[in-house]
Amino acid sequence: MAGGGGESSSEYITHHLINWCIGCNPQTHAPSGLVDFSAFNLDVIIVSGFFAVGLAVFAWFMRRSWTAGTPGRVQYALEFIIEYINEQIQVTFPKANHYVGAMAITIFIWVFLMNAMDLIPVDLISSIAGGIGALFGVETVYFRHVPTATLDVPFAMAIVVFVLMVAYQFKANGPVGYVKRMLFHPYGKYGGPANILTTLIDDLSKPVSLALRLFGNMFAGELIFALLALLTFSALQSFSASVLWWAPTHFVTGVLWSLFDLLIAALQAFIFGVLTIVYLGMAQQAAEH
Amino acid sequence: MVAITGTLIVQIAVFLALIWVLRRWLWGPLLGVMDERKKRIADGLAAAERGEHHLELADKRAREALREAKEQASEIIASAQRRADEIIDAAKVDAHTEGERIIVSARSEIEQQINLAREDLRRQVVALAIQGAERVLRREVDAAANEDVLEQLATQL
Repeated sequence: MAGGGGESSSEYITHHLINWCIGCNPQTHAPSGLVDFSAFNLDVIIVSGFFAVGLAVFAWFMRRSWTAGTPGRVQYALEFIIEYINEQIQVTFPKANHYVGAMAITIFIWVFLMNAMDLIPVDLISSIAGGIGALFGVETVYFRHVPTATLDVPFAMAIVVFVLMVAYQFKANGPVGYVKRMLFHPYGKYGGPANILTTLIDDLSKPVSLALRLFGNMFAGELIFALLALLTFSALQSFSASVLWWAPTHFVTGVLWSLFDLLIAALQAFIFGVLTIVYLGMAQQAAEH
Repeated sequence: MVAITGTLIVQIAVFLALIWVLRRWLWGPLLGVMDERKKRIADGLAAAERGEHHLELADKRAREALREAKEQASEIIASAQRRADEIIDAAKVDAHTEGERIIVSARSEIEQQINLAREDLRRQVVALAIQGAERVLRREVDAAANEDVLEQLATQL
């Protein structure tokens, strides 16, 4: 697909950044605006749902095989993650109930798996999807296989975290304390509307930064894979280099970026999980007046 | 391309469901298992410590018992020694008295024998004297008439 069939470079890149969408504009294949709740990205739902169901099935089948004796490899790996998360929770958030830890491990594993989709060769899944589409007579099939490289997935998790944050703030300060925090924090009694504005920014910046950090990293990762594929092919082609040149170049650049992207995938999942715990821990500390 | 869509709502639902599922079947059980292992290890360590303590106690008790046994044995040996000495002393005393008694009885027997011999001798002397006198007198001495003289003579011998 890369640059093939008279497809221009920008067409190739754009093709990679369009979701398989239901309820989108049929011409542009894009939602009607920045926020459009009538559109659904089927590819995102399929891939993230696949991992969610996979994890659920895995957990269900393994639920009785965890042993207090000598753990196996899988159990040991999971225990390592749980131990780490628990440690973080104990440090920042000793009163946390089990759902905080469960949320952190869900974020960590699920997000990591979705991020790791980036490592699948950039055209593979969309080519397969295109082939299946061709069987049913659909001319162009759009399929983005990294769910975390869309805004919806990171924001969905960030919104849940934000709701929990507000709930914990409310619980820690009480209704009066919560209003007081809004009105008198951080500039004191005479701060007035500046207090409200600052507190709102303070609260909202957390989920937004959480979501955008993940989205930005994964979107960039995906884009760079597409660009590398494009560059090595079309740039060398324009110098009339043969397949003997572009195939190895493509391979080397792809491997290098894959190695780096693997690090990013794990790191972003880790950061999202740990920051969730930290933010919730901050939220449950009563604000000093 | 970059927009918030209805997928967001689906994702929130999936996320919440996944949290619930993993809480129930992954986080919960594994945490329980880890706590149980922690408890087991703690129990094991405590048991080991207890065992060590017991061993120490048993060792002490064994040493005590050994020491007591040795003491008793030496006591028994000492008393046996004492008893043996006593027995030997008693035997010595017994032997001494027995010897003395034997000597005394031998002496009295000897004396008796001497007396008997003397009596015999006296009688023979008396008979000899009478015979001699008869020879001298050529006649029979009336033993009955001279009995008092003979008696007197016999006692003088």
